[in-house]
Amino acid sequence: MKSKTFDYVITIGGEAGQGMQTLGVLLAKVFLKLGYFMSTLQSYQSRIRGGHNFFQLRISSRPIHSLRRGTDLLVALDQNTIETHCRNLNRQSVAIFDLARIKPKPGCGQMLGLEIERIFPGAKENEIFANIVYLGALMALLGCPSDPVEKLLAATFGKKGEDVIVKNRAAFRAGLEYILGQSAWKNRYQAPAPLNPQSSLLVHGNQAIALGAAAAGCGFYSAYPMTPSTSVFETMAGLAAKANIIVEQAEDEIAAMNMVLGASYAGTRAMTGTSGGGFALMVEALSLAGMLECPAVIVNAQRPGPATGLPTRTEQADLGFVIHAGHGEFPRVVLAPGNQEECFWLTVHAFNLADRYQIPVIILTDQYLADLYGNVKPFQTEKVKIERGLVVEAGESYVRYRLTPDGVSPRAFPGKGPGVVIADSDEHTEDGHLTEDLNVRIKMNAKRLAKLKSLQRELLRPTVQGIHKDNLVLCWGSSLGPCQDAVNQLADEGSKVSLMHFSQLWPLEGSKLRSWLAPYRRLICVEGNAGGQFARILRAETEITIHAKILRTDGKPFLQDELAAQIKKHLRPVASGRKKRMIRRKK
Amino acid sequence: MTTLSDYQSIAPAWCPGCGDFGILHAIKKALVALDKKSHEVLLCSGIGQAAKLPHYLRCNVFNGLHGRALPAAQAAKMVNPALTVLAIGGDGDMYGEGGNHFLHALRRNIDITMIAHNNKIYGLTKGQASPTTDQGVATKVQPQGVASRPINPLTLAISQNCGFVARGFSGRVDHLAELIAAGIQHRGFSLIDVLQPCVSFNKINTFAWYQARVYNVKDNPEYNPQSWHRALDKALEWGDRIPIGIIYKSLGKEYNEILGIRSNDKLVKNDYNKVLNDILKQFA
Repeated sequence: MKSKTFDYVITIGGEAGQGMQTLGVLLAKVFLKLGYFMSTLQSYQSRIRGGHNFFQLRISSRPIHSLRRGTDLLVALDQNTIETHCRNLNRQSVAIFDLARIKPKPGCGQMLGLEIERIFPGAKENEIFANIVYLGALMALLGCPSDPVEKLLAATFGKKGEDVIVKNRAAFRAGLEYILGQSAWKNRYQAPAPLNPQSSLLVHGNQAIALGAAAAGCGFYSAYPMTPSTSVFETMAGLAAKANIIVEQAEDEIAAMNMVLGASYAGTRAMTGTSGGGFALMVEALSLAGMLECPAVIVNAQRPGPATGLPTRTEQADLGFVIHAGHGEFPRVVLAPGNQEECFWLTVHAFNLADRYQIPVIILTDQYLADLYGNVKPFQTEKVKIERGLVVEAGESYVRYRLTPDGVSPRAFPGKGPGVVIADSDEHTEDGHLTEDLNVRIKMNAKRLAKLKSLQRELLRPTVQGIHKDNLVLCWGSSLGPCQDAVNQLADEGSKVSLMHFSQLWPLEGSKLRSWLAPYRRLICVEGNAGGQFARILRAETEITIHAKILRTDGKPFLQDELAAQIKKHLRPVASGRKKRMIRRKK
Repeated sequence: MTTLSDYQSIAPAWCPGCGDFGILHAIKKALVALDKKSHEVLLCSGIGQAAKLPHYLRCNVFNGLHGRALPAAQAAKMVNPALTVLAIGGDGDMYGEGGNHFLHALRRNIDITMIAHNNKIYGLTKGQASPTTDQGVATKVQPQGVASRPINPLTLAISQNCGFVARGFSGRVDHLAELIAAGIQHRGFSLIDVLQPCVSFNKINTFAWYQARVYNVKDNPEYNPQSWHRALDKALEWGDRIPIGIIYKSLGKEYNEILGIRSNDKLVKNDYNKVLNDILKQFA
């Protein structure tokens, strides 16, 4: 049975504050350590206590990058979870819960009620131990080895002292042994023994961005907390001491962005992070970055708008906004990582582009990717290249805005030479002083915009999966995972479909895009917004028609099987398939 | 030795007789008195007539957005504490558009000096009320007179225990230069609010009006700027007699000192790969 494929979804649900995330992250770590393929989905509400939150993990014996519909194992920490997720359970699904708190619901999969406090009396003093009992029970149900988990518990709780480790181990064993003692339940899922344990980092998208920034030598991070960007902020703060980064909580996003520019001007690499509403407040300073030619990296972790929208949900609707944000015309780059590895490497790339072109670079992510865990190859930091661009020491006759053919002027840092560095938000002369000479204006505007030409040459090539030219699914940013899985599924089912994922969204270049898209006969664009924003941009740049759009705006990410079914509807009809359908219709 | 000519720059575009000239001269004198070289000084400003000042003396300049001089100035100082950083702007720039940043700069207590050219009116946009315009003053957009009460930047700063709160007058350049030099030397955030006549739009608070009223708090040898309550009382004084000088002084811990930021070491990343791999281990 060792080679049997398996694919399970585990859902842990409860009220905010019941520790679903802690248990979810522990499980994610366990499965990564065991060498399983894993992907997560976190759904939470904009509240601190109560409500209904859940953490989902899908584990599989083959590579997966997203969730699918349904739940095989439900850990219900409150009654509401049973009620809410009942419809996601099938006949084989198992719901685990504490009999003392939750009433079983007949007709919803198989009810596995545990008497938690009898199994582990320690749960009486602290209900959080119940979660560790469930962890043991899950391991026994799945037939997973327990040693790696015990080691992990020791490592996780090590800082809290021996007593905490001992109690957690006891809770874990109590859950494990209880299930192992029940022949009806033990090893019910027979997940194979560790597959191919490749080392993997346990990082979500936002942590990967922060690590990328640290790797790129970022020295300053300023932000105002805003979901779902806040974990970039927290991770940066956690790294600050070791990585020599100043992390400052600004009074508002306006200050955050202006601080980033002040720090960048003074000579360090600087970044801020926010979500749509905060980005809106940064926009004037974004334009300032364009005028000062001041490098800056801005993370926009999208959530559904307009306005406050759905603070803890996901969407890809800020694309048009970030591409056009800011008064006047100036070059900027917009990057949209598709997974944690891209979060890391594109952040490094963002800093290099920002410095080399002396422009703002926006990293466009969203709640789904921000909170997403999966199999992440350890980042090879020796491959990180720090390119600070054209930096000189300010000599006596230094001027900041020297006119050059490619628009990039030698950059100097204040105090690092006998000369002075003059940066001005007004239109300015080469030496940085404000001017109203309109001929200078023409030259300076052209100089700034000249960078676009070289930037277009650096447009990142989209990644392609599949060899079929009949149908192409187009996607960008965090839709990568669900699209990969959906296209894989369709290919397995015999459909001729490939996938193209864009991680650079701006600036684009029409002739390159046309050459990339030309071989495909039917184009289907998948994105998390109502307007088909990327499809529209592609059309504007290439005059190529996107044949179909699959859009989602309910605040949730795409799911593999749902998405595959939607894509299937838009595929070019296969000759034989068309006949069959016509015959059926005649009947 | 630095001299005034080291700070020579382009010609100002201010109205003839503007109070800004006196402030410009006082800043230069203060920097020369402290023997600061022009490349060691960073002037950050926003937008307005006052905010053009950094262009008019040779030094590093970050002339950013209206109201946003303080965030840029504070960040530059955090990143490179070796720079002498001044944030310069008018009353609209610093107390209106940038009012929130002013409050939080008081909290952070970063070692920069804020100089507010306070002419109690909007000059560059031609004569609207500013946050410090007196109640009842009629303008083109407040034809029935300003309804809101003016901000008192001094009481505001003292109430938040700002370590250095001073008021100068652009008609007394030598005294103002002394205040600015003292503000720069103060370890922490220093505020210098400067009474500055606007010759074009403020026909009430003229040079003559101020000359007749201002007096140096030091004239009374018993005035103790370290007494918070006395300082608050002094800052409230306005009318026939207007106090100038160091109104309040106290020593709190400065931001970079609290966080242990000493030099511009944020620019340097030694042995970095080792550090990174160390960090990544936490996520393995």
